Amino acid sequence: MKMLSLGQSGLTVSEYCLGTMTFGNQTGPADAHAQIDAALAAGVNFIDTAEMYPTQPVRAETVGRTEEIIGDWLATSGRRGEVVLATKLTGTGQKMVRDGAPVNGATLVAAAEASLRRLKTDVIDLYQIHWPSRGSYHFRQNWGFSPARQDRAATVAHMTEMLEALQGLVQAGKVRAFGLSNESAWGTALWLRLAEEHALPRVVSVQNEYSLLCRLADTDMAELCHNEDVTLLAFSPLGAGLLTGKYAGGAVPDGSRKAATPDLGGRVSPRVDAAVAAYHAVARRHGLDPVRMALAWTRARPFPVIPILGATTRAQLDHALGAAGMILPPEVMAELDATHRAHPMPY
Amino acid sequence: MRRLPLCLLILTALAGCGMGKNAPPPLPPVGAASVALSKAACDRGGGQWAGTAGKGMLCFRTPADAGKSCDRGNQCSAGCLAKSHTCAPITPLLGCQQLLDDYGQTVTQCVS
Repeated sequence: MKMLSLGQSGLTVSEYCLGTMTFGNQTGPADAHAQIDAALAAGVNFIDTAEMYPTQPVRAETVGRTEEIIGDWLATSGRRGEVVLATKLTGTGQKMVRDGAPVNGATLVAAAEASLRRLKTDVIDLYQIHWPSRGSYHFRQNWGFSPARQDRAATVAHMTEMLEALQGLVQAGKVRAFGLSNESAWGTALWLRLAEEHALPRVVSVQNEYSLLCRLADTDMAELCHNEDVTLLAFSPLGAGLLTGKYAGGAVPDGSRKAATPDLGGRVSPRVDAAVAAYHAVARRHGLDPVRMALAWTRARPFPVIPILGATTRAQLDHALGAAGMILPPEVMAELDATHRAHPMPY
Repeated sequence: MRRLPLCLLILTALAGCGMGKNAPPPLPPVGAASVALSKAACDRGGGQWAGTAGKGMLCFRTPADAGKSCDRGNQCSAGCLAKSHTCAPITPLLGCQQLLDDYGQTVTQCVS
């Protein structure tokens, strides 16, 4: 497993990160702990979670459950020093957390303290803001996105307040680095500028959706990540399971994400099956496993990217982790480029 | 006859000034000059010169052993965190913290 620097944080993380949003819902605690053990045995040292997990669906009564499951593993294994632990502050508008109230500096501090208690640790390595308070174009909102109601002055004031709160957590040794999620290039650049101007914590990563099927990060975000040394943490690198092929022809396997969320968060579309079939055809032509090919492609992008692998089962995780160290030959990369042009943004 | 020794005395005194032999040591910088020196030293040492709410500026550094596993305070350069058994991620560590002492016992340290 290749090890990489996470932005300018000073943290060294594995080239794949373990996603955990199924822990406590689709994946029970024992299986979750087995997944963490397996990931560490494969060389993964990077675990990502969030205040509001598990998902599919997010429920008020399960908010924080995933952090508790990870916290139990940390407490019983005694291996906290071996992992880089990332979690997230739920953003404004999620009714299941704080009834959707707007987040501010005080919210951030209180939420971080609560995450620390559930995780049974005294430091969060990477604390991320799950989505921007001003709104976002992610999760299919790009098709009707309008920034017209955004207020620049209010955004600057909010970001400054959040950075000052983060600074307090960093100085108290409770947070090591700061990241964003579901952000835009403009938003990230503004966070970076305010941090530089006021000597406040610098963004080290942005966790956005990115895969062969969702390539919103290919242009402006790619440029920002390269030039500002910000790592893109790619969530749903297998398109919420679509790129495995298990949903081909409308199939809905028992216990799968599609069984809980039939439209896969807006990813099921009239063009997606053809796109997946085309990518699978590339894999077949070159004798590659399509899951590992999709992950290796993500790692080969020309800007810093670390995919986040989430799995319902241990077998799925083991299979995906086989992509570690895999290098795709140029002819495969060329065919994947051509497939992308033929099947752009299927959702 | 009495002028010569006086001239010699003046020349000697001037030479002394020029050589700096009897000059008092420079006064340490104060105010903004002192802050600028501290900040420069912090920057040179790889630290971050940052404000603390209502308490002025401090030099924060990431210890070389930040995040490493530990069981006792003397295994870390800036404290061993009690819950995670990892070396402190920053120094100074502000606020109240549960740390492990050199015998592995949990103690509370408060720094304001």
